[in-house]
Amino acid sequence: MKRILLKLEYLMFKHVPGMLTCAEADAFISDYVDGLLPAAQRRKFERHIRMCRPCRAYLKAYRRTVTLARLSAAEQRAPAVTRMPEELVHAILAACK
Amino acid sequence: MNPASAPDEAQLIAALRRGEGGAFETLVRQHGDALYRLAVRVLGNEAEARDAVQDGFISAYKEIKSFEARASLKTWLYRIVLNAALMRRRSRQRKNEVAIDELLPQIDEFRHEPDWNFTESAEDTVARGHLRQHIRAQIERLPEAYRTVLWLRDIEGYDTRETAEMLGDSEGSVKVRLHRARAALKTLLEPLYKGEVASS
Repeated sequence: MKRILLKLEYLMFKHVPGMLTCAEADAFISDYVDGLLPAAQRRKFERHIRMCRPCRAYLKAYRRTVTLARLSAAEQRAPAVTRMPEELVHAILAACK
Repeated sequence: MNPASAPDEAQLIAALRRGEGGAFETLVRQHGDALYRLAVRVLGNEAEARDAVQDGFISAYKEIKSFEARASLKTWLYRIVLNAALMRRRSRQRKNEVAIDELLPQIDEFRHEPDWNFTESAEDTVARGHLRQHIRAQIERLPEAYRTVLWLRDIEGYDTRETAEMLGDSEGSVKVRLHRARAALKTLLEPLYKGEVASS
């Protein structure tokens, strides 16, 4: 039964004008998350997301992944070092004479 | 040229091309700190970062006459030092990498995806040291071409154009790789999302 419903959904996405299939929506997801999708494509993408439960769930986990990647590296982005050691400056200048 | 003064970029490039005394020191002092921090972030230690920054500046010194000013001097230097750092990292990594195709979702006619129920915020998840380490370890498993784009875009915060310039790649290619990197990382983090990674 579930498979039949999914098939009907797919046929609707494929044949109703202006609807994206899941594969087509996948190509937009990265720009959508970054807020870079042009308005017309964003509307199409959001229409698909409203009607497609699996893509809605995927978008939720995809967003979380981007957030976790950024947050997990926050310490690495702000290392204790702030200045290039002076002896390195001298070494570079000596090597480039 | 007096390294203490701050010439504009065109003046500095002209002075560098003429081999004017002090111009190269100005370049090193203007950009050295930021490039050093970049190399430390890529390599995770100061010893290797020093070597990468030195290699990068020596390359820049040799190539300044061929610099065409299509990108800014800063972007050009970032690209050189980033590549020097990535080359060093590449030589000590790879053993844990997973092929990207194994990690991308298979969408035939429709997507198959469970309903995710995240019971805590992303901030709370990364506040736990071992989960933060787990996430970092999964990022390290991405193939380098994808990990680098993810790192520059999502962690360092460069935009697509800047990332493409630093990597000497097209914006279209950067966008495709970023999406694949994020999708692959999502797959690698699914055990965490399912609560299969020990939470304490």
